Amino acid sequence: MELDEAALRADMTSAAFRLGVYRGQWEFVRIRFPLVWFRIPKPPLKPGPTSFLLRVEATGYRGPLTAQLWDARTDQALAPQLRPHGAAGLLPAFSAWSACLYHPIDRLARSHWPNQFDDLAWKPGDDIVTFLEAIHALIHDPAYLQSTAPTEAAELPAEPLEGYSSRVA
Amino acid sequence: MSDIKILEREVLFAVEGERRPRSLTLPVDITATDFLERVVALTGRTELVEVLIEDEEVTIQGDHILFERIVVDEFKLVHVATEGKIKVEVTFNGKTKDTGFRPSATMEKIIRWAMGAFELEGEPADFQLKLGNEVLAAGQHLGQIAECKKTVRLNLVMKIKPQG
Repeated sequence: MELDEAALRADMTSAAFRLGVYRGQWEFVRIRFPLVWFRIPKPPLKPGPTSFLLRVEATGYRGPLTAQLWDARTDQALAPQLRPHGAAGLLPAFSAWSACLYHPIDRLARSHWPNQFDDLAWKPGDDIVTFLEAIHALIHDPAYLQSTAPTEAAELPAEPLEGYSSRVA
Repeated sequence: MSDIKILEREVLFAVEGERRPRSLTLPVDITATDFLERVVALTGRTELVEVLIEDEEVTIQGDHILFERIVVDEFKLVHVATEGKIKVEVTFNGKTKDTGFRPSATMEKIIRWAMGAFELEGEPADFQLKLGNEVLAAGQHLGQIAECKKTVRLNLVMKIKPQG
């Protein structure tokens, strides 16, 4: 196993990662390194699927990551019309401008804002927890109004992660 | 009906002065006092004297069973702390307000207080707190970011949504 995969797997068994699971912020689904899938719930009391599927590409981890909302039915990026929408259309972070998030934390998007948003970009010491917290916050933006994605779009069978504990309080 | 009896459970907890949460596997009937002793032994920090539940103002009494105090239907992180509150000074648009919070207070709780103090409308998720240039996650505990200090200065800002 390469160092980047070993580091990612180790971080996904950390107390910080499991804290997010037990807070209901994310759920590990499966890993086919360098790809790893998570489910992130929609904001409560707002229309949409139960969760969104997120596909993360983690080559070079603990370096910066890139990700897209994903459709398990087609094994493609979630169609823009199914992504989280606000009153003004697609939430900016999930716009269809490229095959990544439209946010400085995404390594493919970072160069879109040179010398801007350093506080939102990936920093040394950041990890998968930092990344998932940021994306959870983007989906749970108060501007979120609805998504027409069906729940089945996030239904990728989950697989156990080695070293994972399920008896946490 | 199952005859399986669970003897141990894992607890996730924060420690004042540490960024990352920790975990311990403990007997299900451990008291708060015994849990505290384990954490002191683990960290070597004898100044840790209080066990708190996230966002609660009252410490867990020493003779209470730890796992009976942990709410199951809504996960809340346990926090092991030094005595007393942390003074929080929040600056927004050049004005500063302050008050004291337990180390187990989340950033979301502090944002809610600050929105009231500055008479701001909207939802807590419209705002974020920053420590220097660092954006703090809503679920982080005050004690996790305070570096063992008893006064912390934070900036309240509107969330920025990068556009093209």
